[in-house]
Amino acid sequence: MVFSARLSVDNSASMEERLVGTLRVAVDVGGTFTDICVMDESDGTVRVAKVPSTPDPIDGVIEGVGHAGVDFKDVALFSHGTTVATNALITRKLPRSAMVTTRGFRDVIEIGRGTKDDLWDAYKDVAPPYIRRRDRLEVSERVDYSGNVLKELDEGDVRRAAAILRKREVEAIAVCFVNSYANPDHEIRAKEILEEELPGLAISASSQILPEIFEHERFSTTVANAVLSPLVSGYVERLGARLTAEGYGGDALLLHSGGGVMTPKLASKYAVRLAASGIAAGAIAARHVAVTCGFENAIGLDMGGTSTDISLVWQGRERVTRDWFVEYGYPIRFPSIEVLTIGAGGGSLAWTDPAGALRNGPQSAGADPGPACYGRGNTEPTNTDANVVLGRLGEELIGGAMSLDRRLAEEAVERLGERVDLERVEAARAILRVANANMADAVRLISIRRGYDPRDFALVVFGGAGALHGAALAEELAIPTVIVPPNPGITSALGCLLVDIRHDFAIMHLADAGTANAQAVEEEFQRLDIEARERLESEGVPPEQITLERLIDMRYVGQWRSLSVSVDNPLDLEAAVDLFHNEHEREYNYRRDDAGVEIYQLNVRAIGIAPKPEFKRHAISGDEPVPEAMRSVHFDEADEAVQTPVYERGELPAGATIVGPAIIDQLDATTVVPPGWSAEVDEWLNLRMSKTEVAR
Amino acid sequence: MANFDPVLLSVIANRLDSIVREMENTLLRSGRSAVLNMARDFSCAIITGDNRLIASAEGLPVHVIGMEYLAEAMTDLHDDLAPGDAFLHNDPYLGNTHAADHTILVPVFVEGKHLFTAAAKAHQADCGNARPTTYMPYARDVYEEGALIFPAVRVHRDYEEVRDIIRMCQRRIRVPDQWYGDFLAQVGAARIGEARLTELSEKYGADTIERFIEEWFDYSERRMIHVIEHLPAGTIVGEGRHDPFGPVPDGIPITVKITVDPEDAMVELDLTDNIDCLAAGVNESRTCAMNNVMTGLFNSIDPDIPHNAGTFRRVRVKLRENSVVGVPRFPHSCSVATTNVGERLVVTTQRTFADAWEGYGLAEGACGIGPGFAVVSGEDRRRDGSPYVNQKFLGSQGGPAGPDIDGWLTYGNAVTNGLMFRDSVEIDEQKYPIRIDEMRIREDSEGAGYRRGAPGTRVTYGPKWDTMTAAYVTDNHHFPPQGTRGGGDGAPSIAFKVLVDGSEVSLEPIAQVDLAPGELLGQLLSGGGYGDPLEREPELVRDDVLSRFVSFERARDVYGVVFEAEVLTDVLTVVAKLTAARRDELQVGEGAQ
Repeated sequence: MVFSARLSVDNSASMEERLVGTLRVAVDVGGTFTDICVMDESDGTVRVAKVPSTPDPIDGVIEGVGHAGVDFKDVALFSHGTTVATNALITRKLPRSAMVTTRGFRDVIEIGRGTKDDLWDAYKDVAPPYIRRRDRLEVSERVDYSGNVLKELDEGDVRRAAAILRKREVEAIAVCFVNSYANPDHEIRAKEILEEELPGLAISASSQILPEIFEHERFSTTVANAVLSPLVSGYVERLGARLTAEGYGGDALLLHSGGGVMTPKLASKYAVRLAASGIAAGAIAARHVAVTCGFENAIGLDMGGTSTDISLVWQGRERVTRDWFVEYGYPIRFPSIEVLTIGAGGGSLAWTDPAGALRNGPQSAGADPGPACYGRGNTEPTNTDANVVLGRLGEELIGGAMSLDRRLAEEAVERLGERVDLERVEAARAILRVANANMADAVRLISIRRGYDPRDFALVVFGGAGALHGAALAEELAIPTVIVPPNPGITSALGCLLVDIRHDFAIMHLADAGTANAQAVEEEFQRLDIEARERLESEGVPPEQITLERLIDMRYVGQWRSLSVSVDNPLDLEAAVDLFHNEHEREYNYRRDDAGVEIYQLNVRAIGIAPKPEFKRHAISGDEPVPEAMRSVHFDEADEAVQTPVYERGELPAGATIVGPAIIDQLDATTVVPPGWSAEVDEWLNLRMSKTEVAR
Repeated sequence: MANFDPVLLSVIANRLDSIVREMENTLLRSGRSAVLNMARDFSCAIITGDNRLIASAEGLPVHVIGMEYLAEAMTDLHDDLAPGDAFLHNDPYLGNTHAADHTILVPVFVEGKHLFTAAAKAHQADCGNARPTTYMPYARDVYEEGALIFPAVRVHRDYEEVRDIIRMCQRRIRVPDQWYGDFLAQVGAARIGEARLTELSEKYGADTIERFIEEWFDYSERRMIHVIEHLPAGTIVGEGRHDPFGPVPDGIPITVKITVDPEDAMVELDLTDNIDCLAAGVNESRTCAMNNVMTGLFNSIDPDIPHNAGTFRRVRVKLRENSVVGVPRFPHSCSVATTNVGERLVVTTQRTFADAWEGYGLAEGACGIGPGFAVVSGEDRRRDGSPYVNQKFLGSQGGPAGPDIDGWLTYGNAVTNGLMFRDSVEIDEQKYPIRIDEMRIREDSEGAGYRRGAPGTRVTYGPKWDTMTAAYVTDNHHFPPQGTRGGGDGAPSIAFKVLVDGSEVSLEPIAQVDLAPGELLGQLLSGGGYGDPLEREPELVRDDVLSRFVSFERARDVYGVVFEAEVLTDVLTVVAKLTAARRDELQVGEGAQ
């Protein structure tokens, strides 16, 4: 698979010290596949490759890059998204780690916030903390909410703890003291002592990892950082060594949860920032595609075999959340690109519940045995089977490399149909409608639930199955435009090519916004600016490529959840408060101009702009597209099957318009254009689908 | 399945749930008091125009089941409902839980017809009671209780505030500005519900929505029928008892008679055989009596069934007028209806299920709003001595063991099913002039069992500079959480005070106390076990010993587990042979008793 792109000349001179070769390589390691996207800066071409992921993911990385025909000596910049940290947290294959905390509070992370995730499920076990109670040791010390020392740190306690932990051979330690966000001295001192006593251990202090109020959330994030540290630093070291051995001369840039990249040195220190590394890539790609097409607001839908990742782009930005976790009850409070993953994919199984209702997922037939039509032993119908029955999916995948058994799909769907009293075609339609309803709900969760109206968004669909469902979902949600990027199957890897170096800095700053000293706030911001610049410069970002953005978290007095609003540099506090009232009204349906507004936290987002590939615009051609074949397809919009033209995506020139019903096939995806819809190929070779008829 | 599109059925049902979640999200993020925005002591629901509960998503069980009675009061009392109306309802004699739960009701009109009511209920930081607490256990009647009571009164007409009512509240509620902020957040949430329900109804048409409602109730009922058909038949009488206090020196006995009839697919929960209303604030409101036994039932069966009026058709709750756990006779006070006796109804019901039918139900979890959940008040010298009053949620009650799992440490309490948040230590210290000294797991407090109850916590906190008043209503001191099927009881709850010199003195379980600076208020809690502790896997007992949830003595004497050496090291080893012998010995001992 090769498609061409051109790098804009203006940006290509950046990050000179890394530009020893001409290739920029992005690798996205997922659970099933490792995707590679390579851009050659000398001629502007982009190559992509896909290889199976390997037990040691680094093997897959090296192999995949080789598969793409790349010699590491020619690589100028290597960026990488990985699920290694996510998987370690999910499978809990973690090194033995310990916590050192304020006397009286070692159980904070176990008691949590006293909640469970499923209200009515009295029979579900709660996962234990990442560090067991026995390895959580207490020391005497205490500071109050304003940072005053109530009890001095007992250094003897810390040394005694070190002696115990040495004996236990722990590999990492989280140092978590109450109120350390207000005064970190005790934590820092305890960390120094531990480093002295236990040289070589990975030690994370909560005031350095996440200097914010809320002990459970800060401790929990710090614990996640500690347990991931040995693993992540080992991984980035080995990756670096392999890349160097292969001839790469620079640093690997690692995609972090917030959607930027960071150097291996920082990744070792802030290991937890890689917790959503692999997931973020798709969201970034969706944003890129949408913005390229002129849409500031978009919903990204990355539908694969077992799950669908849904992300939201608002005003040209990914939506970032601070409520992120791998397991309920153990929050990771770093800004993470908000991606909602639901168990709906091509392989999701359709089933009936005891009261006879049709359900879909989250159980999946996976890649093996896979859908019934794979003929590998599964006889329960999946979404893929329903698509085959309806003719929306042909009987060949990946250009004929894999064939689907239509008869097996039909039998599976029929058996389910008998249980809900629907004949085969109707049953297949129903399966997909339930799947689409589940996905639509998930889209609503991240849009409507936050006050965003999906009608103001474009839907960017990718992954192996996204384009099959895109139009139907858009119909359900009244979304006017659906965009299918040129290579849906590797779009996530593309996301890794598009990222900037990005870090978030924050400081608590409690003040009444009405009476606050704007100069003092401005000075705090300037301090953060300096810290941010220093970090980016230490990573080799030239000053002209640094952008700093400012945000203030504010709230009405008495609220504790705050709203983040963007502010100017230099700060205009009055304008910020006005903006807060407006945002509050949009989000929560009311405003109180008479009530006090409180500043809670100041944030600086530091961005080191990396050069982006600027994809080539293709000349609009007047050529009429010619179908490769005709096939009988059932749509939701018509009772009977319709003879439908099937086009080959690669043959469609820019400017081509296809009026539904139509099927557009390509190596890694199939796009359904239902009756009443049309698809247009734009100058970047995206397919843009929209509804041509207002009513059915 | 009739002729309603089954796909549309689940689409609309999910949509209703997501509307409720959107309402709840609004309330959580925009509420002013810590009870709302930190502890999440609120719930939203959607009720049909003819007053049947249809959607409650993540509502607290004690709040949402019975929300329909609130809407019923609104339609009974007002024959001029119109778009733009909103009502404030907190009357426990007309369907509310207790006076501290203010509910905003917004009738939603589609094509001129009252199709839904959007409801947002939230526990207030203060409700104008005679004392600075929202729980008045000693109130002899509603007059001593002192709360402002609003029987579904109009607070919005044509989307404009009825200022008279707002002014009344601001006059009598202790923290008027905080109350008004919460009021706006609640109205905002209900109005979001109204907007979304209107959009939904316009999209599908009122006719379709009305047909959906019936279909959805029928579907939910079928789900419940399926569950009950697979339960064993029988009748069992379960008994529980709330701790004694002032007016009830022997405690408050509770009798729940459960009849499961798989043939007719009905479950009956009969509360008629109980004592009369008491001259104290602990009487159940009708809604609380009903929803708490129903929560005990739902805790004991398939968690996945919808909780709505369709499901409820298969549950008959029998209540008696003028019973402490029935329909309260005015002017008996229901000030503490949502906790205490209410929690006892939940845990007694689920434990009775477990006693009667193996594999169903749960042991008892900890109950009461002891010192860890006290309403504290005083003056904050950092804010020019301005008064503060709010409920703390610092403790964590020990969760009950079930057939397959140990009790949760994160149980919260029986009437909220782990939906409410405990307070943040750091936020509490910042917002209030208090210091929290410790919050830790309490050793040897778990109800022993094949599956053990969660150990309780030990929490202590107190004022920094000036006297703090704390009002609390402990339960489980005299009658700790009971185990089931051979499982042990949890350790008793204890309210205590730590004096400035560090010594501890016990406190009355139900009291209002003043703490001087340097003194600390403390509480200990626990949960009950399920099954015989002698059958617990020795390796799990070893884990508990290593975690210091369980001491060596208790491992030996209660679980019958013998270790090679009683030293806490990672090589701690269970001696299988000696453990077997020890367990035989304990078994014989049990038999001899």
